[in-house]
This record gives sequence, structure tokens and C-alpha cells, in this order.
Amino acid sequence: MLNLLLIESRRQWLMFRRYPVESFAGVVVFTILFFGLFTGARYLAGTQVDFAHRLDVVVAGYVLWLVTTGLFVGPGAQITEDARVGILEQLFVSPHNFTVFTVIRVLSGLVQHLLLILVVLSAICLITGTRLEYRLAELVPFAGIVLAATGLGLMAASYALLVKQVSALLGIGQFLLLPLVATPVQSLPGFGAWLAAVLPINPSSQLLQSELASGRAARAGELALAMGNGVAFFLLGAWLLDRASRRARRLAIVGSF
Amino acid sequence: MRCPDVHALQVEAVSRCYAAKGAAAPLQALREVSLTLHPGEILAVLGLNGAGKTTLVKVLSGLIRPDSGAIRLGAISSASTRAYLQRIGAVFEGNRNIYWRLTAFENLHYFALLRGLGLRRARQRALEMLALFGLAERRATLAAHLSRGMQQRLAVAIALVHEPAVVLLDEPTLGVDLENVLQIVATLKLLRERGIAIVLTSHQLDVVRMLADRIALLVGGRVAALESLGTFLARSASHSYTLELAEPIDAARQQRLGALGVTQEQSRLRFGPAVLYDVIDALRPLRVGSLQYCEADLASGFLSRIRDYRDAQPAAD
Repeated sequence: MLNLLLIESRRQWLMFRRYPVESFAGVVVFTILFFGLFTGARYLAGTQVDFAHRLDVVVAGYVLWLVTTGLFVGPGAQITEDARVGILEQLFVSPHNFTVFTVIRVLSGLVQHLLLILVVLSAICLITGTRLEYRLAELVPFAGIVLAATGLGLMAASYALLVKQVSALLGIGQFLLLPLVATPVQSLPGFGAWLAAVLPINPSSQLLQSELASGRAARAGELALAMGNGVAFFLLGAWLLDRASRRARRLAIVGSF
Repeated sequence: MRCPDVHALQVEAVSRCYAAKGAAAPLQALREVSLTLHPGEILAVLGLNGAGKTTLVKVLSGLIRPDSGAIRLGAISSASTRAYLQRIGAVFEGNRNIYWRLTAFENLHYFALLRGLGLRRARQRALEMLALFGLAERRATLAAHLSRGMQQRLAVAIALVHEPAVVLLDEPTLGVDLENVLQIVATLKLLRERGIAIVLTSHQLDVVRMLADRIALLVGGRVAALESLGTFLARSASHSYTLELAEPIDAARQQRLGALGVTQEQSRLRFGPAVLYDVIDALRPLRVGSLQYCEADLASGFLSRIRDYRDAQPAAD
């Protein structure tokens, strides 16, 4: 599996550097957005509030948004593109399980995406003399978010595999992600806590934001809920993609609708 | 190049149907197809559009699961296993297995790695394939910038890069110019000599004639004929004699010739080799202007075999 990850990462890296202007433009867009965040947060914070702390939250929120949309849109868009150019059938006749292969691709893309963000953030911190601080414990809810968003992406990919036309669905889905990431559902009266637990991404996202905002350490139960939610949606997405790939084989629609 | 560990492919009573929306009954694409493929053999699967050729290739590649029947590759008894897929290479019609934004070399290297070859071996195989398919000078060219013929050669090379025992080629010369067709043909002949078994579908019968050792003729999803190219040609109706009569023929003789399956156009008679002496007997003592032997023509033989099969089994389709 590690081998597959290296192979796919190498391919994605080759694709990335093939068109330096396009890749560079992507980096520039990232830089401008993050620079805007930094200066905006500094302006909003004024002199009364700890600017660096406020910035941690803002930057983390934006990175979360980028990561979740990327994870949601990526697999389905890739399947549609592969079906269009004819690669999809070749991937199905390779000795690798298609679901495993798709997850590896997502992971490879995520690593590349995070590395790019890291490089840009480091550069801006260096330029502005700012320091962002995150604790290791915050990685747990972040992992929960990544898992749940990947699960949603795999669900969209399942549908893409069967119909090969999902651009509108992916577009709408991005907007639906926003309330999942940002809304404190658990604070809603009545069934809020229960609802938050079964919605994808929300428990992890709320926990991470709460940790960042208040600086408090998460309780074991909260961490378990965040990870459990992430793992559950990831497994559900993987199961659906596996079912969809079997169905596509059975209906003979791997390369077509 | 190392000769791969080749195993014969055995297909036993494979059937596959598709649910067709709006149709009363499902579409039966393959009906109890049985055939074998020997090491170092090229089997051409012929048939009209919709005969089941592409479905057969996709079933053999593991892309589509058959409804019933068995596929064996040596000791491997299932087309869905990792070991089976490792020994099969495929190019599907209209789908060139290429990443357009990677170079020819990068494509070959990527697919070699994906199929489980080690880093060094993958590189070595990629270079071998580039040389074998005449693409060495274009190794650094993006696939999207190659000519259509070169892209097709690259697609076939990718199907072979992991040293499969059996290669499935669905219309490998479709839309390719003559020079590239001849290059693909020459390379496939070379691969046959190295022991690789090839299943080929093509509507280009001249390509089939240049390559095929055996023919499997599909009609309505059934194997209507499975025989050597020579036998197929010999049995075809177009393997014939044309006899030009020097004088008119009477009604009794016409009736007798009709019973022998002889077709007549004015003073010209056309018949198969099997009835040559019967025709001469029937015509005796009329004067014959000329007798000409017409070598079998695969195209008309192919069509006549399909007609014969349909006539014999009207319910087949």
C-alpha cells in the first residue's frame, strides 16, 4: 500500500510540475488568500486582543475549509476525468482494489495539498514575523475531519462511478459542507447534541474550533466522538464506493454511463 | 526481453447479458462462449457490430463479470483474482490507456509500477517497450502531443509493459494510418514469437489476415466458428471457381447446377471447390471457355459464414 502511495504521489507530482505557470498561479492564490487572512485578522484584532491567538483560529478555519472541499470534490472529479479520457477501465483491470486505490489517491492529494499550505504559511509567517501555535492534541479532531470529509468524497465518487456526471452535485455539496464545518449544531436546543453526533464533520470541527478558541484540552469522550464520527463516515464512504464499483462491473458501465 | 511465463487461456461456456432499458428482454451479449488460447498464438475474434466482441474482451480482462461460465489462465481459475489480472494486459476500443499530461516514458513507467514491477525493472521495461514500439525518440514527448498512430502504439506498449501472458487488444489499429498499422502488426508478430498469447478484435480484415493464427467468429454472442485462418478461408464460400461457358446451357442442366449451389450470371458460373467435379460432370459435353480459381477473400468469406450460421440457426439472434 505504501508502494501504491509512492507511485501515485509521484504521478501527481509530475502532473503538478508539468505546468509550472498553472502550479505557480495556485501557489500565488494561496499566498494572497492567506496574506489577506493575516492582515484581516490583525486589523480585526486591533491592539486589545491577542492577535496571534486569533490568527490561529482564523487560519485553522480556512485550512479546514480548503481541506474539506478538496477531499469532498477530489475523488468524484477524478473518476469523471478518468472515465472521460479512458483511464478508468485500466485502473479497474489493474490488480489493485479500486476503493483502496481511490483512498490512496485521496491521501496522496491530501499530503500534497497540506505540504503546499505549509510552505505558503511558513513563508508568510517568516515575512510578517508572526508565529502560529497548534498543539499536538488538536491533530485528533483534525484527523476526524479529514476522515469524515474523505468519506463524503468517497460517497460522491460512488455516484460519479455510476453516472459519470457529478459536477453540479459536487458544486452544491461544497456549499452544504459550510454549515457542517461552521455551525455549532450541538448547541441547538432539543436534539442538538444527538444531531451533531450523527452529522459528518461537525463534531470534529466544533471540537477543534472550541480547542483553538478557548485553549482548553478536549475530554476523552469528545475525542472519541470526533474520531468515531470520522471513522464511521469514512467506512460508510468506502463501503459505498466498493458497492458502486461492484455494481459498475455488474452493469458493465465502468467506462461509460 | 524475457519471455513471460505463459499459460493457455481457457474460456468455458461464458454467458453475459445486459439489462436493456425499455427492452422486453435483457440483451444477451455472450451465449455459452467456449474457446482456448495457446501460448504464442494470435486469436482473432471476428463479428459484426453487436456480436459480442468487446464484451468478450472485457470479460476476459476481468472488467466485466460473466453471468455464468468459467475462465482459466493456467492454474488460475478466476478472472477477478489479483494473480489473473497481473497476467493480463488490455487495450479497450476507443479508450487509450494513457495519461495525456505524462510523457510516453512516464506513462509506461507509471503503469509498470502500478502493475507491481520494481523501480529499476519498471524503468528497464519502459525503455524496452519504447524501443520495441519505435517510440524511443519520443520518450520525452507528452502523450497528448504524439500522433494518433503513436498514441495507439503507446497504448499497446502500456498493455504489455508488465510482461503479461495474455494481451487483449480491442481494435488496436482503429483510426491508425497504414505505416503505424504495419508497425503494430510487426510488433505483435514479434511478441507472438516470444510466446505471448494475443486476443485481437478488428474490423480491419487485412490486419486479421496478416496476424491471426485462428479465427473465432461471433454471431449474436455465440461462437459460430473457431478454426485456423487457413480452414476458415478454405471453408468460406468465396474460396471458389468461376467458369465461363462457351455455349448456352439448357434448363435441365441449369436445374442440376442449381441443386449443387452454383450461381449463374449469364454464361458465368460460380461454385465452391467441393463441387468442382460435379459441375464438370453436369456440364459435359458443353464447351468451356475458361475456368478460373478465385483465392479466398476473408471479407466475403466472413459475411457468408455469418449468413450460413444464421440460416442454420434462425433462433440464434
